[in-house]
Amino acid sequence: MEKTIRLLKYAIMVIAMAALGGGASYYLYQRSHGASAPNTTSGSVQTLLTTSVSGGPLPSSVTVSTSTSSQQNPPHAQKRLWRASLGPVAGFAFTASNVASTTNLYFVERASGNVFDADTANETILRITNTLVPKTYEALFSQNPGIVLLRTIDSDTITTLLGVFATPESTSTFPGALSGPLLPNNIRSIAIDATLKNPKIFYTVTSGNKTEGVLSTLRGANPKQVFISTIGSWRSFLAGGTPIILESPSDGIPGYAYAVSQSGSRSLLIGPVLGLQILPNSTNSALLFSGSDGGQVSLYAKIGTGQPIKLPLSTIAEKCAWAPGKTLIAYCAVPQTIPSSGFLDDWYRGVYHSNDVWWQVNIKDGTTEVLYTPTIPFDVHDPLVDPSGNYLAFTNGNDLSLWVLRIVQ
Amino acid sequence: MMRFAPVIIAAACALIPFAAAAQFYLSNTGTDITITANPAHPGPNQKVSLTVTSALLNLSSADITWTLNGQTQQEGVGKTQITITTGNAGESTSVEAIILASGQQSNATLVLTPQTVDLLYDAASYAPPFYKGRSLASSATSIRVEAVPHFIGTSGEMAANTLVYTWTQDGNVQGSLSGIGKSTIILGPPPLFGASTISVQVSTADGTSVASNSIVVPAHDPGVTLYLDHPLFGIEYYNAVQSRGSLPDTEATFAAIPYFVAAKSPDSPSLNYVWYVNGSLVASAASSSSEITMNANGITGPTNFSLHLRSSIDPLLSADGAWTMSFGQSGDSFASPLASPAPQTSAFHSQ
Repeated sequence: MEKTIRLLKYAIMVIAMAALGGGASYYLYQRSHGASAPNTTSGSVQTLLTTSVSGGPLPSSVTVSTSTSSQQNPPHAQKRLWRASLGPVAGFAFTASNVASTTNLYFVERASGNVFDADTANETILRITNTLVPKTYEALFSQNPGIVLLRTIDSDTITTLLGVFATPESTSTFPGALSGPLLPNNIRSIAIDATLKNPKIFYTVTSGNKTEGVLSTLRGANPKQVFISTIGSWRSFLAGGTPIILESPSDGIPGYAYAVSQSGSRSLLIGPVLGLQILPNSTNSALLFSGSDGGQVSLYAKIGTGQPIKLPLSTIAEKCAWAPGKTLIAYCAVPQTIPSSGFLDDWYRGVYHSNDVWWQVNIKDGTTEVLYTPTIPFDVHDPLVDPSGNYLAFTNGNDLSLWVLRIVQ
Repeated sequence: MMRFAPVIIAAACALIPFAAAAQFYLSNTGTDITITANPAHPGPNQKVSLTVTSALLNLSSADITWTLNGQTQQEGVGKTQITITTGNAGESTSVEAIILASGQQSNATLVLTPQTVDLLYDAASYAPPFYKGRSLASSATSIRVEAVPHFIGTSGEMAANTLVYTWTQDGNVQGSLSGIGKSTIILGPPPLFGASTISVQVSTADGTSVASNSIVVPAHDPGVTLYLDHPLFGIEYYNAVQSRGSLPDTEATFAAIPYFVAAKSPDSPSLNYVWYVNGSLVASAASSSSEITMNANGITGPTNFSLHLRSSIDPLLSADGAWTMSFGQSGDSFASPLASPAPQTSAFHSQ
């Protein structure tokens, strides 16, 4: 009973904060998009942000954050590093907005499954959806506006909801509802190819000692099994329309990565490499990969079918992001220290958090330079560069908060 | 990180007589001259050492000529060993050793056609639903192994289901699990505190192309990792509870996640969680045996709690954990050290 009351208290708190935050966001969105609005600010939210960046305590349930004072005195002075969410997020992606000439970052709040739109130029947040999908552990966005995959756990079963929602391109009334069909249960890993005109998804489903790799349309139509394995530990990728599978990494254990053809044959991309992680670029013309074994972490690049080149950065591929276009530039978060054993496994389990510095690396000539040295600890997860190449978004593994770094000062 | 893929040998060891008498004599001795390769099944573009031996001839005083695809490479008295580099996958290299001893010429031929096979594995062990790492083997989990051959024939890559697989675990041939098309195998667990060596030899049906590979699968000690099960965020898999920490709330639910045990769920009936709070036995949360809810209302000072995990299907499983937590403290730090030891008078209860 006491637990139920406690849960009710939390629920009420979330709803209240969501309503307040949503209202503030909507108001700020209207302001930033030219609608008339009272000349007021939400200074209290700004206070929270300032506190959070300096490392102070954070309210776990606050969902909306923004600064408005600077918006009253344009031009807006952007911070180099902006915290876009206070609470943990389930996933995020940059979108190219046709409505505003800014770079927008969509993200899903882990607690509610609500979709938010973070305007990176004005550092404002808009709640896009208000349909509650509690405890969303993972979210993947499509480049198609208004589609997101929300992944949750229901009694040990992984569910994947293909959520469809209205975006600023189709409506000005926010927040709105999110709804859509469910994809098959127990999808262990899933990837969306954002580069295709008609995006596809590639996912693995495990049942007992059988894992199938399925390629389908974004909405799950026309599923085709292109891969089958006794092994269940697989990671899925889609790059340039090609499904790619990676044996799930473990420190000091050999791993392989393959490209999978439509006929189901596998061609070796790289392996065996101890603690192998990979990061193909969007067209699958280049690959970053890394190995981790007993505290020795090495990063490599492979362009086309050429020989791998060792890069002078001791980090893992999952802490890197490709810059857009054909420049073969990547940005990597490099841990300042790496434990002597079990780094990857402890990192995946949340037992170890690294403290990273951002580096830029030119794959063509192997040159590197420091991009940004944070003043607070960041354990970078899931970094992503926006289509303009101006912003880096990532989550901090310490609390899954979402951050945006301006690449060019 | 090197690729050791196996190989092929289609080798022939023959003694071909030069003189009629010798022909008769030598033909009676059978395969007296032999070329052996080290490694036995070299991969593509790999250096391989070749040695010619004979039980009947004194090769140290013999004139030996080595040819590769018909072209003389090296020759000399007592030249019994050379090193070559294999070709690309599926590309045959014919090696011949021509021996002139006591006026008789004989030879032996070995054909190397390098092929490769990748050997992949994980274990049927528990890991959380969105865990990005590999499920590893422990003392009661089966090992799932898959061979991915890359055999290049005259008409391209050969289908995996047309090849013959011979599996061994720790030197024991798994006869019933081997055969044509049997590219996957599920084996028993590695020995406790030890490792299991699993090997596969893959060959074409006619045995002319062979590749092999092996892996060492260690038995990992299953461990319990503790997470906060937040009422809004769910289990915080991204941030494990460290051995000492503090929480702003006075009530919290913790989830114990038994990585790599032989179970399908943390709440499997085969798993037995025994929780202690400040030395007293307490019950798990009603909704989940792997969780404990603690309420520290009115309590000051840090609290010690511990967990002993056992399994009814794995008597060797013994995973323990101990933590010290301060409730109602500012911040949410699982790693910050606490200055004072836990008072033994704290009265916590589970829910």
